[in-house]
Amino acid sequence: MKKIAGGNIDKYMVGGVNLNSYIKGDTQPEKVDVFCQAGRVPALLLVDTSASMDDYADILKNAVIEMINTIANHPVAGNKVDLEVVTFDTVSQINIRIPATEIKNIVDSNKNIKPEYANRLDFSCVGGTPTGYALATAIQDIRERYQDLKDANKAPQCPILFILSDGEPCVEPNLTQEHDKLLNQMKTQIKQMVKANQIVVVAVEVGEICEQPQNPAQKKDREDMHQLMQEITGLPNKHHVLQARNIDELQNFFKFTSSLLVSSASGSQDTTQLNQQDLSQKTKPVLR
Amino acid sequence: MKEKNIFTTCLHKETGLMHQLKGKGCEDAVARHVSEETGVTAVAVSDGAGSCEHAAAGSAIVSETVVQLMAEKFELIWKLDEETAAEYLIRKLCAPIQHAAEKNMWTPESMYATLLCVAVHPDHRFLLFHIGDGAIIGYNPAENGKVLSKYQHLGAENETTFVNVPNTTYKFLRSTESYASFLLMTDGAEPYLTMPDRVAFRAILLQQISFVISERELEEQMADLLQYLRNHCGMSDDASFAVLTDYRRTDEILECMPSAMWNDLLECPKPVSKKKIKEYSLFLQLLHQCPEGVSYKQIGKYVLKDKHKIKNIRKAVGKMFKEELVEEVQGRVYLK
Repeated sequence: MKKIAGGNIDKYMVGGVNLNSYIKGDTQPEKVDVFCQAGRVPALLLVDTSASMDDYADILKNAVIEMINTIANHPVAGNKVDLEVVTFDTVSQINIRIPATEIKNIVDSNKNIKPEYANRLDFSCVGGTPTGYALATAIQDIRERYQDLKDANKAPQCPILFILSDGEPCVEPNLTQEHDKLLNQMKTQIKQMVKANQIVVVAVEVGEICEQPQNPAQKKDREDMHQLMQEITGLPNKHHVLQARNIDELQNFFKFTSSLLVSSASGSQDTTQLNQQDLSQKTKPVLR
Repeated sequence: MKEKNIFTTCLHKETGLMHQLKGKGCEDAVARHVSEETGVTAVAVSDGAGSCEHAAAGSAIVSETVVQLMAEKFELIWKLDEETAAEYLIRKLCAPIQHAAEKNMWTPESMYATLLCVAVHPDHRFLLFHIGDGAIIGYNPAENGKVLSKYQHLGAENETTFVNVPNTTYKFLRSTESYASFLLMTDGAEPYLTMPDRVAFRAILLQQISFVISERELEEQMADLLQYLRNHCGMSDDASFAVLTDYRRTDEILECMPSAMWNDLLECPKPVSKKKIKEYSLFLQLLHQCPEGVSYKQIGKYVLKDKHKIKNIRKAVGKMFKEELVEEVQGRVYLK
């Protein structure tokens, strides 16, 4: 016999929403599915693959694979974390490496990432840093994914966007004005979404930018970058700005991310609470 | 027909993931009892406290004792005022716990267990007794699922009370309100299937299909539901269910089912007509009423009023045989 109480119950709700048409007749109470304490966790990893990130290309690939395998091996999180991986640079533009999907769909029976997906994570770091375009794509994708999950009655939690970058935005001169305008729009939009608890953004500064500046010009650049990363998180403080000064710290960031997604998916952490938490203090001394 | 056959029951319990990882067995216990004399049927579930060494023994004693008491002493308990009834039940439950503790050189505190019990009389009266966490749901087609009792956590989620905690809080309910079925659950599944004022659709489905399928199949459906809760909702604790169904409401319940449900039950790709649903409902109700089986002649007479030939009767309810909802043994038809 088919699974009924433990199977797909949408078909029993006439029109997808009418519980009572199944239960007794024509009235329309609200649709009630299982009350999952922990719903789906949509997450998007947005990785800067501009030329200056080249030193981290291999480690990024391995760290993302390890993160996926870790989540897939968790008995609950493997079914509940929806991950999308997107890279951005001015040569290959905005590149969706792994489209938004449940982790379980991209791993094999041994809970290891399938080769076809692992191959898509061969990052070649070239070109500039179109942060504005990347954010616009990421926000749109994650919002759509959230809505899809909601429509499918999968009780999505507040989506999480992780962005890793090592430098200030940089695009072709003829696009600079348009790009900067878009970037400002995105900063405003993120701020509004964070305020409404519609998204959590965690920004990771990678490499030299985390070091102390050596001269006034460098100081100005780095302060601008720190300011931008804070604005991208949509918070009035640096609670969601993390720093990965070297490869070890970058690996630690991915371990932290795996742990965060697993705890959110298994119900011990609610993503809507994250905007009130100081994540920058969570992983000391590795992360700021 | 004996009154004791009015109700059908199904019990199921599973060890939680956390207990498996710790090498512990299931500390939930389930029990049922039917009074031969009155037909009162009682079901119970009990959850042994995870931190207590002999919790499994405690929950087993509590569940077995309470169903006996509630079924056999139904009239006595019904007549008592709420406080006296609860005191009586707790005293009767604590005695065997104390005895087992003394016999095994344990402390009664090492056997802490919760309790959820419902006993239903054939005249539609029911008694409900509940101590500690977990939830009891009543189901009627008219009002869907209703949370009849649910422990309200005032402190941490894992803080609750137990049967043999001195001056324990409890819920005792005595009612003449008729429910088509009751679903009892320990705290493993409770947070995922109940809210203070609402019941999850899956819990309602479980009760509805209890009118159609056999006890074995219902247990499988319970296991499927727990698997869903583990995989999709993060449930990791021991979990147990008890369902008590009043077959007299069968046709009323089954006629409410949409064709999609019938399609799944009968593995039928085409929509099932209203006439056919009515026939199936009457057919299943007749089989519930007659655990000794029915003849084709009886099916023709009571269910298919326009059919008299055995060949035609077989054809009319053939799907039920094909999907193994019913079976034929030596010319008589039984619920599978």
